[in-house]
Amino acid sequence: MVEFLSLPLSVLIFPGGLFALGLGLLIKGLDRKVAARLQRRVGPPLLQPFFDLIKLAGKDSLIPAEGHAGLFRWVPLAGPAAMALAAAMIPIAGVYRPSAGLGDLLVLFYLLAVPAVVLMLAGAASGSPFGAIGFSREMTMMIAYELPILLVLLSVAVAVGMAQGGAIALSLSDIVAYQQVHGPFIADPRMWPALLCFLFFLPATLGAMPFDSPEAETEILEGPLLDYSGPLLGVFKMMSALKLVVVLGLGITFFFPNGPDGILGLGVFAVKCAVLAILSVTVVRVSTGRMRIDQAFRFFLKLPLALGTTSLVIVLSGI
Amino acid sequence: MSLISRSFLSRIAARSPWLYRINAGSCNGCDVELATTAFLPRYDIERLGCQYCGSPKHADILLITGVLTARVKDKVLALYEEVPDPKVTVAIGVCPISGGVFRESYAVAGPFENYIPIDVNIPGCPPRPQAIIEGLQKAIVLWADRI
Amino acid sequence: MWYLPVLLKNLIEGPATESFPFSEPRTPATTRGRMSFSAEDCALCRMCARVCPAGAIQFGKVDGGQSFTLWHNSCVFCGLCAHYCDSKALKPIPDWHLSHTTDATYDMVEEGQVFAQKCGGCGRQKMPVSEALAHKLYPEIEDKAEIAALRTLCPSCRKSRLATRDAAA
Repeated sequence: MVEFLSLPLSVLIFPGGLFALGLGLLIKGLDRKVAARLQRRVGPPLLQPFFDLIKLAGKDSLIPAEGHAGLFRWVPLAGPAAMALAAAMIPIAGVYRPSAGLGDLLVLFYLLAVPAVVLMLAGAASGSPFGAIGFSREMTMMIAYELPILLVLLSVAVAVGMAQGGAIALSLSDIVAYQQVHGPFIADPRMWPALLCFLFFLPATLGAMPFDSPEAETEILEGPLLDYSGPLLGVFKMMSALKLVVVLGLGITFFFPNGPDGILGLGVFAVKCAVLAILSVTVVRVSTGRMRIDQAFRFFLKLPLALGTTSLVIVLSGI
Repeated sequence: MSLISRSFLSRIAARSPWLYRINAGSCNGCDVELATTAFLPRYDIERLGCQYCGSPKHADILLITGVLTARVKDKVLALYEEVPDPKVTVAIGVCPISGGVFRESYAVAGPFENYIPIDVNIPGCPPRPQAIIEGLQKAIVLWADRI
Repeated sequence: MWYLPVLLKNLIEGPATESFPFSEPRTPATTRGRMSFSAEDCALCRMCARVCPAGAIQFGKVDGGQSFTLWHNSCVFCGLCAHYCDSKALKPIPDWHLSHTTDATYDMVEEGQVFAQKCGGCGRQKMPVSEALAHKLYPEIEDKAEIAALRTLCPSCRKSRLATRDAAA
C-alpha cells in the first residue's frame, strides 16, 4: 500500500496529474463509444480524446482582439491545476491515502468550484456576447447545483462523524475507513436519497446533457469556449477530463469505496469510475434533450434539494 | 523535436479532424445531406474521428455549401479568417465551384475560388452521403500533410 | 426511464452503420449519378444544351464535326438532357465517385466528338442517326434490316426510300 507519497508526486503523477488525465480521457472515450453503440452507430476509437488533445497542441492559438488578452491566456491554466490538486486528495481504498496536509472535504468542495469559475472568467475574457451568455448561464447552474452537493456532503460527513462519536467527520480518509469497516453507504437506506441527489449532480457539474446549457453547442456556439483554439482549448479539455475523475472519485468515496488492495484495487477503482460515468452521464446523455437554463435551475431547486435535505434530516435525527 | 517524433504525432493528430459547416447562401439541400452524413447511424463519420464543432475557432476542415451570395460574402470571408491554421476547405455540391443553376443570377458574387482557396470539390446536387464521406477522406489526407 | 427499452434494443441489435469507407458501398442500379455521353449516337440536335438549367453543356466546332462538352462541376444531375435526348446518347450512370482535389477541377468533363457521315444514297454529309432515334422516327417499321438501312441515309434519301416503299406496298 502506497501511503503518503510526497506532495508534488501525488499531484503531478499519481493519482493527480498524469494518472487522472489518462483515466479521465479514457473514460471520456468510453463514454463516446458507449453513446454511439446505444444509438446504433459504431463510434470513435476508445483513444479518440487523446488524439483530439494531441491535435489541439498543433493548431494556432488565436487571441480575440476585443477581449482581455492577459486574462484570456492565463485563466485556463488555473483549471487543470486545481483539478490535479483535487485528484490528489481523493483516496483510493487500499492503494492510496492522501496526506493530511492536503486538506479535507471542505477544501475539495471549494476546489470543485474552480473549473466553473474558470469557465465563467474565460467567457468574460473573450469579449464576445456568446461568452457573456455562457458566463451568466454557468453562474446560474453553479448556484443551482452547489446547494444539493453540499447537502450530500454534509449527510455523509455527519453520518460518519456521529457514528464515531464526534459531530462531523471532514476527512476523506476517515469516511473511507468507516465504510471499509461498516459496509459501503450504497447499502445503507438512509443514504439512498443522497445517492440519487449525487446522480443528478454529476451531469450538471460535468456539463453533460440535459444540463449543458452553459456550453450549448448549437444555441450559443459553445458559450465560454467559443474563442478558444489550439493549445488553450486543449487546456480546457484537460480540465474537463481531470474534473471527471475528481467528481467520480468523490462519488465513489462517498458511497462505495470498498475494494481490494494493490494493483487490483486500482483496476477496481477504474472500473467503478467507468460504471458510474456510464450510468449517470452516458445513458442520460443519449436519452434526453437539453433543459433550458431556467428549467434546469428550477429543477435543481425542487427534486435534488428535497433529496439532499431528506438524507441530511434522516442522518441528523439519528435513525 | 526530432523528425521521427514529429511525424508520429502528426499521424496521431490527423485522426481527429473537426468539421465546421458554412452555409454561404445555399438552398439547404447540401446542408441536409451534411446533417444526414453526420447524424444518421448509417453513415457515421465519428468512426473517422470527425466531429462537428460549434465554433469556427475549433475547426480543422471547413465544409462550404452554397454560392457566395453578395449579401453574405463579407461575413463568410470574415469567418474564414477566424479559422485557425492549418485548415482544409472543402466545397460541397456544385454551387461553390461553378454556381450550379444560380450561375447567372445578380445575387451571386462569383465562384469561391476568386476569394478563398478551396482544396477539395465534391460535385453533386446534392452529393450522396457516401460521396461526401469519400471527399472527406481526400480532405483528411490533405490535412494530415498540413498538421 | 421510458427510454431504457429503446436503448437496450439498440445495444442488442448492434450498429446499423454501413461499412463504407472501409469496404465497397452499396449502390442501387438505378442510382442517378453522372451523365455519360456516347458520341456515335448523338444526332447533334443540341436539345440538351437548350434545356440544361445550369448551362453545363457546350458544343464546339472541330474538323469534320462538332465537339460535345459536359462539365460535371456545373451539372446538377436533373436529367433533363437525358429526358429530351431522342437519340439516347446521354444517359445517367450510377457513378457518383466524383470528388476531387481542386487541381483536377477542369478535368471533370464528359467529352465527345461527333463527326458527320456520308449518306449511303447521295453521298452528301449527314448527321448520324442512332438506333433509338430511328425507332422513334419510324415506330411503325419493325424490320431490323429496314431500320439499319434507313440509318445510313440522309433525310431526303430516307423520304424517297419510304415513298417508294409505300408506293410498292
